[in-house]
Amino acid sequence: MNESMSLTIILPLLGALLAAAWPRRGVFIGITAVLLSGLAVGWLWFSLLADGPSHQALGGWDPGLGIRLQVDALSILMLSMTALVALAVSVYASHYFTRRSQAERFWPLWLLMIAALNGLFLAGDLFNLYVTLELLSLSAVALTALGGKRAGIAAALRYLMIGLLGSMGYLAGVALLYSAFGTLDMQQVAAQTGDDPVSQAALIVMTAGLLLKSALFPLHFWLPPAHSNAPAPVSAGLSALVVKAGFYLVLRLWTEVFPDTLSTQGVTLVAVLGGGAILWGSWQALQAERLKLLAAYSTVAQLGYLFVALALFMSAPPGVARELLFGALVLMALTHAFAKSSLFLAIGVIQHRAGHDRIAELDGTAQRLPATTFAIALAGVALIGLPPSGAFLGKWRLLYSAISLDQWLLVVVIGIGSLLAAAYVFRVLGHAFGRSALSVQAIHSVHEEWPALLLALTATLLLGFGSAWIWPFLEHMA
Amino acid sequence: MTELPLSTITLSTGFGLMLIGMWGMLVRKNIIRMIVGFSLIDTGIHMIMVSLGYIRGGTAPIIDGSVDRATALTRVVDPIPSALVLTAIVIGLGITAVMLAYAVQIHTHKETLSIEDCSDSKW
Repeated sequence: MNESMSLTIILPLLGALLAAAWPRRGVFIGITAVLLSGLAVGWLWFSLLADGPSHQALGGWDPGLGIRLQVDALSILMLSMTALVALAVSVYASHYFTRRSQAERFWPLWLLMIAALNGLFLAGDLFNLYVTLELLSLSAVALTALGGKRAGIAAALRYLMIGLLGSMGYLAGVALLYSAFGTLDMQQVAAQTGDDPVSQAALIVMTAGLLLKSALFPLHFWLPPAHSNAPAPVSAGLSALVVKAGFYLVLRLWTEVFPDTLSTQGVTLVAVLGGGAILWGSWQALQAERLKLLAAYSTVAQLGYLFVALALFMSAPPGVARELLFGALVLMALTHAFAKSSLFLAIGVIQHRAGHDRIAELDGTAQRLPATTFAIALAGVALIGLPPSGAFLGKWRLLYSAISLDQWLLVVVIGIGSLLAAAYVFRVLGHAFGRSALSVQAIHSVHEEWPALLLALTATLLLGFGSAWIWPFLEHMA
Repeated sequence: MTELPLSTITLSTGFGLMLIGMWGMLVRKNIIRMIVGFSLIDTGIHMIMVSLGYIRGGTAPIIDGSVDRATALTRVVDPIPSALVLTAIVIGLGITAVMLAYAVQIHTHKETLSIEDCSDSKW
């Protein structure tokens, strides 16, 4: 048990060091490290199913003084999401970069990002979470600037500064909690938080910092330039995985560390912001002229759904409905990760073949790149929330809870958001099926087209038809 | 008259630095000034964290035979904030270096250091 937990962090970290020391072997080292850390996650699954949630005191130091790794149902699902998406994106990335210098820089940073994500999903200590957050934003920012173009660097600098303000808020909250409770271990802090001013102040600064990092409207302004100016595999990783880290932390803090501190006003505020994100993000996605920007704004909107679901979950009375909503929340996060990474990879294929990603000039894409267009359509099904995608099950539950809590405004917002999502997905498909002059070269390359297709199939079919076990699993492991 | 404990002075200085830095990061347009603002916030938080562990008249956190556990709790300065701050200083160093590297890149590309000139990401 214990070994597999640290292995999921150590293996990609080791891979990053090796890839930095031996850049010519980057592809081999990268794929191997991602595969091995995926296997470590698989091993973790076995021990979790056998022994239940557990934790590991690093270096034999007891929690309080030492730092603790912990694994439960939520973290293993997030780890599996990271492992699978990272594997598909790595296969795609192995043939994506045309310039060797770019490829050589990609792999160390990419593996570092995966190590940071795995560390974040396993950390049971508030300060350790800060360290992984910073590692994550540093590697993500460096990946954003990988394109080397001016716009990319400017976007990366903005991304870094925003990320820093967020981390500083989080760190200030950590300092407050330590001063009040004398410990940084999440369980020990959780036992002491209540309705007191220190807990409230810490909750506010930490949540504000994390909302900034997870780009909740109106704090999303840095996300579209950063995600749309990065190389395709990087965009896929950023949109699918990195923004989830902020959301995951808010979820953990709200449900486990501060359940008694949270006020209804705070929850309402996040619900309103989430609703705003759904409408604004979808509307901007509909207006976007470039595919990558469309996908980036769609991420803003999809994060809105996640935060709306979180707010509903926090305000729902305890009971079966609440537990069902939690499963729906997790399922929506997973589906979005697969769908969005698939969309960005598919866009990468189009950009590579057509030389641009302007939506108005996509004619002929469907004829020349059928698998890629199919992937976009499947990912679109998951983004809209049509059956049989995992997002459909999630949204169904979300609507159900909104209705049973008499939140009719949210029902309307979710409806409009889904319609707008359908509009922007069909706008892309409409242009892709256009019949004017064919501008795209045909390809038959397994490496290029398959990762996107497999990710989209996971989001739409696997997480739709094969996700019934998530609910009993989450309940059983709680 | 009782004099102010050292930790109160460092604590308020820390909060002051944080606010000045926050203002600098949000208001200034010059990238270098924004980076300086970040360093101020960072240092401010470090000072706050170190002062949290301070005990007036306390001694260094070396636990051996001469200090038993009970007296250690009241007489010894808490070492954990210092350990945390050491980690945070290293992280801050790395981040400042990366930000400065981007500032240099932007300056070589555009001959400007104003953040407002960097919003021309092409859609």
